[in-house]
Parts: sequence; structure tokens; C-alpha cells
Amino acid sequence: MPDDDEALVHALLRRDPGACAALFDRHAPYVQRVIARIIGYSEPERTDLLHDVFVRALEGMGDLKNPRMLKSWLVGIAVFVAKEWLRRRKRVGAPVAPEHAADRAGPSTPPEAVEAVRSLYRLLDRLSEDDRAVFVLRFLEGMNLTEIAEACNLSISTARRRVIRAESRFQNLLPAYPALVERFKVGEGR
Amino acid sequence: MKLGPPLDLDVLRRDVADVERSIDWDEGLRGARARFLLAARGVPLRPRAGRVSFAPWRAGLKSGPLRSAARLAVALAATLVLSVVVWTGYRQHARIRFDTGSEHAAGQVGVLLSSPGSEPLPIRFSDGTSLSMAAATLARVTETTSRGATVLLEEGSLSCAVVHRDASRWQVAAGPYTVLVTGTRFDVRWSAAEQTFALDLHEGSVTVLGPSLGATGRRRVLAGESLRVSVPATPTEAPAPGQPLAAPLGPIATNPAARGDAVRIGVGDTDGTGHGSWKQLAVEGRYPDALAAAEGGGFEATCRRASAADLLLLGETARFAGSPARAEQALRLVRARPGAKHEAAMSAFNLGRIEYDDRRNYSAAARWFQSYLREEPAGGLAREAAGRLIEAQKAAGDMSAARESASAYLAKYPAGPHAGLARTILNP
Repeated sequence: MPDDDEALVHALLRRDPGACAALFDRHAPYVQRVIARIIGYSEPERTDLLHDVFVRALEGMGDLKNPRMLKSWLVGIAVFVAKEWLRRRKRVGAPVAPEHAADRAGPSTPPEAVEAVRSLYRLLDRLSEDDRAVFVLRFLEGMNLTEIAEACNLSISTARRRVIRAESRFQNLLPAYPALVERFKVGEGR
Repeated sequence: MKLGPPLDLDVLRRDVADVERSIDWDEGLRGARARFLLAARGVPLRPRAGRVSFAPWRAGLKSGPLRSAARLAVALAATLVLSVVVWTGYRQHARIRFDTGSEHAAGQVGVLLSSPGSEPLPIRFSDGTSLSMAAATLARVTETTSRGATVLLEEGSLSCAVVHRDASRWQVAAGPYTVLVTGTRFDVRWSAAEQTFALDLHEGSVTVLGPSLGATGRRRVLAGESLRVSVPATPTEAPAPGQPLAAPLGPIATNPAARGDAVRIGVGDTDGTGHGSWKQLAVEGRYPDALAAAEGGGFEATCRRASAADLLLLGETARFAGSPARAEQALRLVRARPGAKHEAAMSAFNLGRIEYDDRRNYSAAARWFQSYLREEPAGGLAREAAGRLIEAQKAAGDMSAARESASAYLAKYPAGPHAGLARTILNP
């Protein structure tokens, strides 16, 4: 299978054997992490959404204008799918999950880290899907404005306004989550 | 880049990284990869959109004949776009299709599917989803939509590999239990005789609705988990708010070795016939052998010695062995046994199935399903009996009764496996 994304896209459009597997193997690990960071780690639907992203990508492969941008295009689909899922969850209510993500964390994970991440997602649940997505992309994924704009299908100026709004809302809600506040204090003390 | 007031999230990023290190990412990747490659076989690729320059068009519009040609071209293009839109809409709303068996026979909604006693029967859907009915299993596809299908497992075991697509909607109903599926791979078993339900989930997650699943009546099952649950001895369909169902919650086991242990029909070492244990053979799924063993000791004598529960099993055995007459004989004897109210109701239900599926005597089938509902209105098979009653009345041509039953069904089971049929009857 070709090493570069441009050749991979052409292989996919030609329906070359092994191209679908190569697409998935090359990009799914990163896409899965983006999805998990947006929807939260406790959601077993992560696998379903990951599958969704790649099916949508395959269906729309002919629309990809610049094959070299395959990875960021996939991230854009992942953000769209994750936001759609968050909207649906808001409508029908959270599924009954037998356990929380943090409970699955391994014994080596510091308990305060587990609690902080749990609090982070409780806080993110109070943001809109749009704010939540840009917050995760900016502050957890470390994307710049151009990348955020591309992933969220926004202009750069809109992406900037949205990041500022998400950050501001995050800070307003922060005092309600002592575990998070404590972690920031730790950060300040370093 | 300066973005609002400074927010130093380094610590949080490290916490996130810590938690992420403890996550088994490969598990999710494996599951999604297998399903994606399965789905990819049926995904149509849209051709690459060509770049269209409008400059020559604008130049051409300046002259008369070219303007006419342009108008014609625009009209043709508009027709083409409209056709694509209509076709896309049709594709999106077209119901999925299915076929069965090695000969790929076209499947029909509502028709009973019965796998032979010795081999599985595959069911393939046009979206890539595939089911495999284990040997001696009875099931039917009761509804298909553009987003999925509802499968009713009457008896036996199904292995399901459901392809997850956007907004897909699949249900597997078994007795009073409903498995809500978006995309996943799992095995489900239902024993109508024992009123036991079992589910082993290999990938993804499903939600199971039904009795004995705690106060909410629903349970999420995740990959690697198994659910074993029984219908309560005294069924309670509508518990008071906040009131848990009486029966204990079935265990969720994560040990694959435990699979299959919980769903077993009780079998004695001997049935006293002196001709080998027909019960043992029946439990092993060797139905013709089991019936032959029961006949070997004299069928009437075997029936006389059998308990009401054993008679029920004998009736099912005879039915699977292809002898509805013997099945009816055993099941009618159950109804004559004093003190066996539950078994009598179950036999009414099974007699309804025989009349419907084996004899095509739909009026008689409707009467038997009504008997079941009268005798055990909150029984584990009440939902299925109510649905089968609609089917039987419709097939018998009694549309007035079918409408009445459909209306009652929707009031009680608005999302049940026969809800689609009921709506179709009420709003043809």
C-alpha cells in the first residue's frame, strides 16, 4: 500500500484491495483519540462513532479536494460525528452505562488525575456541542486556529471567536468543580 | 496566538494523558476495523466531483443560437440534478432487503424462518448485516426499514453481526426481551419453554429491555460481557414507579468460559421409558432422534409419565422434528393437566404457532393466541402473542379484529417488534 495519503486516496477511489484496511490502520488510532476526547472516555459508543467516521469518509472520498489533507479531513468528519452524537444524547438522555471511564483507569493512574478528568467531562457536559468541540481541539489536542477552522468547517475568525467563547465559559464554570480547581493550583505551584 | 484570558491547561493535559494510557484503545480499534471492512464491501463511492468552469458559458450567452443551446443544457442539467435527488431520496428511504440460506432465497417479512436440526441458516441483509440462525432455531423478520430491521427470535439461538451505519436501527426481540442494536456482534439465545434469555456480546454495545433487569427495566451490555436472565415466575409487566421487579437480576459474566452454562433445560438422567432419554436428545437438539425415542416407548405411555413441563418440551420436540400432529397431541394433554396453569398457557401459545406456521389455519391460530393472552395476560410471551394475534387475524382476512388487536398492541407496546405491522394495518 502507498505510504503517502495522496496515493492512498487514489487507491481507495480505484477500489484497490487492501486500501480500506490501510486507510483505517493509518488514521484510526488518531481519529479514535479525537472522538474519545470530545465525547468522553466512558462512552462505549466510541467504537461505533469511529466506524461511522470511516464509512462516511469512504462514501465521500470522491469529494476530498486535496488528498494530501486526508488526515485533517478525517478529523473534520470525526468532529461532526461526535457533535452529532452529543446532540442526540442530549435529546434522548444519557445511556445507562454500568461503569464510568475513570473506574476503568489502571492502577497506575493517579486518583487525582482520574477525578480531574471526570470533573472535566462533567464541566464539558455543560458547554454546547460547538464550544465543547473547539475547547477540546484547542486545549487538549493543541490545534491552532487554522486547524480548528478546518476541522469545524468554520472561517478562521469564527473559529477564533468560538475558542474565546468556549474558554470564557469554561472559566466561568470552573469554580463549581473543586477537583479541577485544585489541579490548576498544582499547575501554578510548579 | 493570544486567546482571551490565559488558561494554563498543562496539568490537565497531563491528567488526560495519564487516563488515556490506561485505556485499551486496541479493543475499540479491532471492533471498528472489523465492522468497517465488512461495511466497506457495500459502500458505493461517489465519483470525484469535476471542476466546472463557467467562463465559456458566459461568453456563449452573448450570441443568440448559443443562448438557446445554453438554455437546453441548463434544462438537461437541472433534469439530471433532479433525477439524482430523487434517486438519492429513494435510496435513503428504500427498505433494506434480505435473503436466506445457501441458495440466497429472497426473504419475506413476517414469514417464519426455521433452520434445519443439524445446520445453521444464514440471513444476509442488503446493508451488509448478517445473522446466523443456529440449528433448530425459529425466527422471523417482522419489519424492515431503510435503517434496519426487527427480528423476532421465537426459539433457539442467533449470531448477529450488525453493520453500524448512521442512524441505523435494529432490534432483536425474544419473548419479553428486546435488544436495541446500532452496530455490533453478538449471540442471543431464547428458550420459550424455560423463559430464559442469554446474550454474549463480542463487539460494541447493546441495550437490553425487559423484565428482571432492575428498576429501570433496561441494561447496557458491553463487549466481552454476557447477560443471563429469566422471566420472573410471576411476571410483572408494569411495576409501580420506583418499584423494582421481583426477580433477581441476571448476572453479567465477563468470563467467556461461562457462556452457555446458564441456559439449559433441566434434564433428568432418565425419563423412565427404557428407550434412552428423549429429553436428553431433545436438549442436545437431536429432535428426530428424541421423537423416535419417545415413540419407542409408546408415545401415549411417554406422555402419561411426563410432567406438564416435560409435555411442553415433548410438544416442541415433535414440532421441530416435523410432526405437528404429535406436537398437538402432547400440547393438548398439557392443557388437560390439573394445576398446570402456566404450562397450559404456554401450550396454547405453541398450539397457535403450530396452526399458523405448520397448518396455515390462521383462524385457529388466532384463537390459540387469544387463549394465551386471556390465561397469562402479563406472561413472558404476551408481547409476542399479541403480535402473532395481529398476524393471524390479518392472514385470516379478519381485518376488523386485526385493527382492534393492532390498536391494543400499539397502546401497550408502541416500540414492540410488531409495531410496524400494527401501524400499517391501522394506516394502510
